[in-house]
Amino acid sequence: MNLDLSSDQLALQDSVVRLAQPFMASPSSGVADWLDGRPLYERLQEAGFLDVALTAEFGPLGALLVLEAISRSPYAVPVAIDLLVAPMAFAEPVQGPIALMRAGDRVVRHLPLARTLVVLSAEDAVAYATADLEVTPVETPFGDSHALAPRLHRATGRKLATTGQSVEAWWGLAIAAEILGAGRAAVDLAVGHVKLRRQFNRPIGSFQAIQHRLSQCEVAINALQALARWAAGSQDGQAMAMAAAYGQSAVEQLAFDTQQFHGASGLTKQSDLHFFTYRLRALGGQLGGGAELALVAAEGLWPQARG
Amino acid sequence: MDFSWTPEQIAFRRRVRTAIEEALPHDWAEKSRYDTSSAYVSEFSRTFCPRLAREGLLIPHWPVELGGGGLDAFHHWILGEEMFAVGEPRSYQYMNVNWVGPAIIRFGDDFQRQRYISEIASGSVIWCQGFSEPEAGSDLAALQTRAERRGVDYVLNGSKIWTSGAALADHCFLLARTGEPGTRGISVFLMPMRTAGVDVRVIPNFMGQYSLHEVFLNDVVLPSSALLGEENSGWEIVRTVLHNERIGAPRYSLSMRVLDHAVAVLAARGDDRGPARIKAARAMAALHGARQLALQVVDGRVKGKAAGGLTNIARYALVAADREVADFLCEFLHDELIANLDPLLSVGFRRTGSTGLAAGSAEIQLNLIAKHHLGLPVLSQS
Repeated sequence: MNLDLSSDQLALQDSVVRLAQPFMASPSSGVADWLDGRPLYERLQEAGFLDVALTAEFGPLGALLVLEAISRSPYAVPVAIDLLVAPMAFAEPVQGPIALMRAGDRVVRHLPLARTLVVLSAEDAVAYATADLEVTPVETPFGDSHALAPRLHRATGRKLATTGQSVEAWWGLAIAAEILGAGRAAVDLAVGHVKLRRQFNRPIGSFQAIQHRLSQCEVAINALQALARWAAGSQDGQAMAMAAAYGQSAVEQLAFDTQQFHGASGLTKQSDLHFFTYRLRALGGQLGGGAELALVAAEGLWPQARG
Repeated sequence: MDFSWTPEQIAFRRRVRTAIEEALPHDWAEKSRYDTSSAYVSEFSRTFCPRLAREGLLIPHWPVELGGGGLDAFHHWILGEEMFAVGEPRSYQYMNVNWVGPAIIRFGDDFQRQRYISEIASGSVIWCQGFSEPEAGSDLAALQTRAERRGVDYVLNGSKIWTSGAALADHCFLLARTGEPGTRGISVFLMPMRTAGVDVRVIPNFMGQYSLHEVFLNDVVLPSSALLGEENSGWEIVRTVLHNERIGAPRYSLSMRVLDHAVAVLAARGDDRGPARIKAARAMAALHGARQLALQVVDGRVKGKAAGGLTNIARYALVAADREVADFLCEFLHDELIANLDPLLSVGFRRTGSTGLAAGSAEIQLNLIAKHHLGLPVLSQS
């Protein structure tokens, strides 16, 4: 047991933070609902970060650390599936950026930016080149690019061999990591705001009503980080499911409170907050949402006899 | 980062578990009701702890020269997890080995060490903690119990409240005012409970038989040898010895066991449907989050790092998780709780319902997180 990041892990974290630095704030307060993060994706790819999960040195915990850091960017960076799901759950290389959906989903996150769409069903995982698909982006404030689920012709898809661990398990952990990063960014923005914003001749951050709720957000972020790192480090299926369930159940608190303490400005596009609050809400509904992921975790913890 | 236990730590946990299994009677659940504070468990501790001492499991984390095993804080924590999961059969002796003994070792003189340490290390005494007062709860530094010098003695007057195990205890680790108001006028006294003028009243409560008391001190005369450390250094002593204890007991280990048991009870009668499983899994995830944070605190102790704000975060995570457990139990095992049919479920509810107050109120933790971790401005509040 050693719960500090190693010097190599710290160096990895540091280098990804430096690489992503130009993308840690929006270029100017504007009107965008989402910011195209493909330039950051390409830099990550060139620098070799997308292969971290398969290195003996770092493994999936390294990929999680990279994803935690990247998810603090307001940009829509379609990198989560490439970092954690593809290397751990697909037995063959898949061209990124990868968008992932479950058969039956009506909207696909990151599809307008992706080169490959992977569709999961109960039976298999099938990869489609997005160049062959008719992609219809949707106009949405939910922090990232989204498109309607495209019409698929199975004949054009390539059935992927998957490894023993379920794709959903790693996807759930990736969701937890993205919630962690977006939640961290949103809490940091809210803490910064309440220190500056003055009412009644004092910073509003000096009121206990606000302090206690932000402290509770801080606790949730720390617990989620501890769970997600434990899950990635141990590659334990139950831990992964619990991290995903915990992350999605924290979304409401993180999104609501950080927006609330920004006052009306939290409802505008004047700060970067909306990228995170809306993205948090979008992440909270992925893979069926928090209740469904809690059921998945329950099945791992307390298997029910079938039939 | 490495999340695995060493083979040695795994073996140690197994040793502790075996020692517990061998020592607890088959009807432990019914007799103890998992109530740390019951007369039964405290009496049991007076044979159980000497047995642990003989097996090297009472103070494995104390230095070798003091009779301990010289093992690190992870072993201490493993011991705590296993004990708490079965209702803490050490009763309040867990405080002796966690911090009362270490405080006396660190701040006591030769007489005090000889008088108290071998007693604690043999597992034969119970200590209580005389901190809170009617007007000094979260604001502990406002305590008013006075200790006045009279010749070579001290005369104490005042009262303590919420004292756990007072009616069972042999000694009290007592805070009293010897000087100016505030933190700089407080001293620690090692007070035998059977001293003239000490009057104990049980407060009927929902936590456990002897969980809460009032302790009245009327002209209690203590020799100057009862003073621990320097006069007026009590706050510093308490800060130092309780620094690492703020995370408190590994309460989640009992809560996890209760959740597993609760789901099994529901499954056995076909009531383990989706809504119950969703709530149970969320509570379990929160408990594991709290556990991982607690282990980070322990990891820091092993490395000799200052505890810092993480302790407060870990503590509040536990409070939040236990709240979910209590809520789950009440919603889905309502009948068992009301009829008090199942000792483990009942204790699970009692314990998880008090986590926000035990070892200090949760709101103080939130204040500290806001101040030290988030750097939020503090205006005229503690």
